[in-house]
Amino acid sequence: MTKIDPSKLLGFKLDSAEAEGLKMGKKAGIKLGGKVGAKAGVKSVAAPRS
Amino acid sequence: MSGLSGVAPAPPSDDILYGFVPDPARGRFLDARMHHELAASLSHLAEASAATPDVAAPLADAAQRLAAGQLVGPEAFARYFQIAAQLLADEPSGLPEHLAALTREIATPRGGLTVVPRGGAGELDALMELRMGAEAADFALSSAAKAEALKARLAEAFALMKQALPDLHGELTAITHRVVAAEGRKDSKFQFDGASHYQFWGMLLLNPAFHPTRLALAEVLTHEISHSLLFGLTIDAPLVFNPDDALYPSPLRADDRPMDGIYHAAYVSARMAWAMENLAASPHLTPEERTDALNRAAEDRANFAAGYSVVEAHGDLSDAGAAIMSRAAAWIAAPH
Repeated sequence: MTKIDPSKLLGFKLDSAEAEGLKMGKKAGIKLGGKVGAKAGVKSVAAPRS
Repeated sequence: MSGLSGVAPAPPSDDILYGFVPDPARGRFLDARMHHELAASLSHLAEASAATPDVAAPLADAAQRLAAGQLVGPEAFARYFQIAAQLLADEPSGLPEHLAALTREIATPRGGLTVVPRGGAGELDALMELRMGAEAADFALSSAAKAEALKARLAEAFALMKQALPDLHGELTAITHRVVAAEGRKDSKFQFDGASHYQFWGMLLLNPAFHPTRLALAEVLTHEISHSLLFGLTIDAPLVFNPDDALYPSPLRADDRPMDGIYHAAYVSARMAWAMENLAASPHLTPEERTDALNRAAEDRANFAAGYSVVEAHGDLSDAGAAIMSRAAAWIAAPH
């Protein structure tokens, strides 16, 4: 069976550079966006975006 | 790369690919390239699984369908990530079911834009749990009624963007095909209002509790499509080489963030300023909306300045990261 090469896989190739010493973490993750989103009754806080 | 996955779409020039101003043709190119990358990845997984025909055959079939031009929704992209992660980890549990689902999802044309509630989003609900882990709980169930209301407001926002910002509208609709309405966690002091995820290409999450006006929706759509644009430009290398465990102050969040997040935040802020200023300059807003748009733009510019100062001071940018950000900074600095 051929070994899977992460450097040939969408998304995983971004992390595979870690093996080359770049020490990257998972890059293919979530990005939260938008404006301030404070729920009712809670003082406005910076929304968790990006 | 295997011949199964077809020929990669030819990239446009760097000035178009990394350009700051929205471009529908670039959106279509990035969508095509993402599909090509998906096909190539499935083809590689099929080759690596050749000794297990029950695994290899559906993967090869999916790659062939994509190479033949099939366009698929975020379900197929997320399913690929799940299957690839399991194969890399040699974790066979549930794999036959995921392969069967992939076959269905690849065979299903993605169609036009749909707006669905979290909890009524079909395969996306379970895929979000699988691929986002604990973070999926931040996107709580919503109702069909709220999704329908959001859909109606989105129609107004899309109509405004099509009229006043046709290139941004074209870029947005080239990439986005699913909007999932999700609500914030009731027990959280933070409430998301929009989100996007690399592994769910073509999907945006919006919180229907926010964005009461077409202008607010246009702004959050600009924000999220700009994240997606960066995802599409991040194929072979990241935007920044800073380690993810190195944290820096973010202009948009109370907590410190990795440089990748700050880069994203700065860039999308600049694009939001572009959208708000161009809307304000168009004849399609009411006087009240124009004032609102300019206020939003000023805030977006301030957020860009704060984020860009951190990127400039500490960012270890890739070539693509530098090419994209320098064009954003140039637009911000230019007189308008």
